[in-house]
Amino acid sequence: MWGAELFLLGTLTAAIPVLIHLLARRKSLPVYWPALRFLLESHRKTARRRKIEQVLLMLLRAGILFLLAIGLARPIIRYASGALAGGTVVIVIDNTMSMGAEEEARSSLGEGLTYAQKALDGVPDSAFVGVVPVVKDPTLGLTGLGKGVETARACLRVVKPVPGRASLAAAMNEALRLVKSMGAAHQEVLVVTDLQRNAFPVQGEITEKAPAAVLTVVNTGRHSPVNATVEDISAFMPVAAPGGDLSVTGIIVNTSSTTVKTIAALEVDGARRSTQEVTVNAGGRTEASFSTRLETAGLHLLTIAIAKDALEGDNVRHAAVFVPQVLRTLVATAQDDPGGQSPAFFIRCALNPSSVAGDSAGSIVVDECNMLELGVRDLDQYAAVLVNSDLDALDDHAGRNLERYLDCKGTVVFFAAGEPMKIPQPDSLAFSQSLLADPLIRRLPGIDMGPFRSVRIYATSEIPVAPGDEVVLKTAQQARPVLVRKAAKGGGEYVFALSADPEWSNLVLRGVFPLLLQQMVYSSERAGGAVACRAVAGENVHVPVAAESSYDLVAPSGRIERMHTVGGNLDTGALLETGVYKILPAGGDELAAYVTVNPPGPEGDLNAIRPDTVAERIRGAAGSIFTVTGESELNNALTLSRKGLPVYDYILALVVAMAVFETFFASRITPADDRKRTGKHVPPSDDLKAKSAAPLRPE
Amino acid sequence: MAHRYLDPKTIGRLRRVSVVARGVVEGFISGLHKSPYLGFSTEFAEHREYAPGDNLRYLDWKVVGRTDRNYIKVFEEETNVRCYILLDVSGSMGYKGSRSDGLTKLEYSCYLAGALAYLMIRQRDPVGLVAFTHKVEHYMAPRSSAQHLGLILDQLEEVRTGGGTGVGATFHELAERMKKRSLVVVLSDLIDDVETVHSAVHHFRHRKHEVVLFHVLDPDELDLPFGGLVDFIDMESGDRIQVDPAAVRGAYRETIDRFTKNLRRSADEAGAVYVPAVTETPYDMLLARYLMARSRS
Repeated sequence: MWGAELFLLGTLTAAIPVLIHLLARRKSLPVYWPALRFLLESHRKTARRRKIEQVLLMLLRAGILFLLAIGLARPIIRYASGALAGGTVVIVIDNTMSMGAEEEARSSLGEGLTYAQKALDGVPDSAFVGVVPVVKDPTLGLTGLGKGVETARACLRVVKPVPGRASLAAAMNEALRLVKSMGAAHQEVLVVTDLQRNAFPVQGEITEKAPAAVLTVVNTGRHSPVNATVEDISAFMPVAAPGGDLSVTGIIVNTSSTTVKTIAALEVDGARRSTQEVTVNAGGRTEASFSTRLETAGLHLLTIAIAKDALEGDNVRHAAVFVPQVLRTLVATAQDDPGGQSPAFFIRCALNPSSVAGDSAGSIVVDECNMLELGVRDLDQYAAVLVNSDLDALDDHAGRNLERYLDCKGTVVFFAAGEPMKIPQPDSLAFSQSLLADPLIRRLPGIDMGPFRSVRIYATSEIPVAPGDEVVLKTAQQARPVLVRKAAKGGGEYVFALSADPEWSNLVLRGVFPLLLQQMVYSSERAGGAVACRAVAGENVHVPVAAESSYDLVAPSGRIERMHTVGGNLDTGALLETGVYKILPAGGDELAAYVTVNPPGPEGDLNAIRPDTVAERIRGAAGSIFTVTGESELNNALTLSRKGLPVYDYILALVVAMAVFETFFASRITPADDRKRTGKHVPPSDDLKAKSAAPLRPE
Repeated sequence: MAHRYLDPKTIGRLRRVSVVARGVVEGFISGLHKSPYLGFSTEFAEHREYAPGDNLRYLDWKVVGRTDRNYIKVFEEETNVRCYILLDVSGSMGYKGSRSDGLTKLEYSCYLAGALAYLMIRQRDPVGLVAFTHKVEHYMAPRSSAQHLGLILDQLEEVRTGGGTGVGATFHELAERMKKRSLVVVLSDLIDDVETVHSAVHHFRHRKHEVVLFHVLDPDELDLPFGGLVDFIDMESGDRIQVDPAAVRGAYRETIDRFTKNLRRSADEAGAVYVPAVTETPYDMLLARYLMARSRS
């Protein structure tokens, strides 16, 4: 295994001394010499030794260059691969948003994943390998420990920063439990994290102990990148109605150590409404307040975003507001109530049982008018119109008005017809009790009241049941129908047998009637709006929906998942995307609920804790603990943990030793003072010149 | 007339130094060398009875008066030394290195020869000069006259290098030619087999000659100081060899060192005096040192 393969090209330099040895032709100096016989003798005597010395010197120099290149390529010899073969390696990958922090176009997570992949290089297929993400991410498709590295590699390739509540301690505990469970000879846990001070486990959080394991914490953190985060968003709408003014406030937190200047923007349904410049001191926080107006009813997504910085994932925070149509209920009477209490009083009491005074509360307003006044009312504002009158007795004018009201925006038209019928108190109590005791009554909250358009309450306990009518409720004792669903235009008509006489108001207000009335009114609310929920990314949400049915969960990205309710609740599963999830009836387009999902919170200060602090915090979790930064240290730690030998240190030491020896050896062969030419030759006489021109004699 | 090889400064430096033969040589001119032959000299040795024919000048009258017998005073005679300067003029003597003050080995030898000749003749010792290669190129019989010194110096100026060295045959021939005991001063690089040199020196010694070998070498010959690749050309034969001096320097030094040591040992064994004469040493200094050492011994 090589740490820096590129340096292997340097081994070619080993040829340089050989080439010099082979190709170099030195220029010789002619010297006329008196005693050649001694030179010849010395030359012959030393020729073999000199040849060997020269070759040795050449090989030594070539070897130095070769080994230097090899050493710089950082070779690592693994001589204990046998233990690793049956071993267990678990990689804990910190996929929190902070790992997405970028510096010079490189993210901590990207760097960490590279390290993780490199760490798998030396792992044989016979080893058991697992990946434990800090933030659960179903898209990774993890199934615990698997044999071979390919699954883990595939998993690492798709890891991305995921918003959600994260616990590095929990992930490390899980990893330690996994390696321990296999009981292999080689147990290794590699934790790739940015060592956030606030997120790294404190002492005691690591409850699992794996004494035989080697725990290597790889620090990929960036030091103090400029980063701000939108910590929170809140919206206030004094008049929750279309056209109402909205105040939105975002909390901007500076998580870095330098002052941050940024632009905060308010977006409504994806459209930018306004911006403002924000300056936050190091480690401080400030508010960015916006004011806008929501013109239309329905669900609106509010977003406060700041400019992109080192960590992009925490620059946006969402809120959703639902602007309802005001649920106003109009009680129209044809005549004064003989009991001194208007029907509106009872209606108010029924809709708001806790209200002693009978005042309207929340978004339900109960108005009252004469039938003849209906024509001057803006009935678009009413969700329900209750008519306390005998339709048959209405004159043409009132009847035409009523016909128009049937098409009003409201969803309930309530009739009270006939004369009030006096029912003796005991009877009424008995009746009430019988209704409550009836098992069928218990079904009432679960009744899908959505489609009905009208309910009649008759002043008699007798409801004529015609062919085609559906008896929804009957009394238990006498089997008298009290709630009948009649086929009618717009989805049907419920006929409820009950008196509205104020004298029996106790029966009305304490019995089934208020439940029914609330159900009708609130189902009207749902029909025009949705249940609002808020969640943090990664959480499961149980959304209360009305019916046992199927729903479509539409993610912010547009991904649709079909779900089924259980016990009146819809379990969304982990919501990983930030933004607004919509819950629609299967195949329908009417919003049943919505869930606003935000990141879990500020990602800390992005400053890594000190390595010695890391070791201190997780002391005892494993037999050996390494805290490394960078590829080189990781390689060393892996080598040590896998009982490998980082031979490059030894090679470089050998190179130094060889260089020293070369200096000594070369100086021994050619002493330094001999390298300068000190001898001079005698100017040869003509006679000598003639002799020296003679052909060379073989030695 | 000024001679190239007799520098007045050198003469001044050597004025107090005289060549004293280590051994007893025979001579007929009174000099500084002790002779085994007793004669009539100034230094009294003993009395002997008068014999007919004795010079009455040396009769000791005091003894005659006291003993009434005739006794002759006998003086120890100081004999002259006959000196032969054997100068090697072979091609190899033409080498001149960068450290030899611009002198070839031959020129250096000539200076030595000139100085020696001057010293010898100044003390009235006869000096001869023999220039040789592989044969005797020039022969001047020993004379002790001042005129002879001039002739020697003239001859020294005329010698040229050329031809190969052949110490053996030449020295044997000279040994045979020298009849009387002599001081044989050899000025040569002695590039020959050590055994040959030994044999030749031994021959001189056999003939009772005193031999002094001045082994004249250029410093370059001792340490082979060249760098780079050198094409060495033999100055006598013209042979060539291309050598990286740095590569063979060690072995060369060993070889030349062994050669000089063998020469010295050979000279010692033969009873000759071996004097290394490296041309970077000023010749007068070399000569003075040698003569001082010689006179002390």
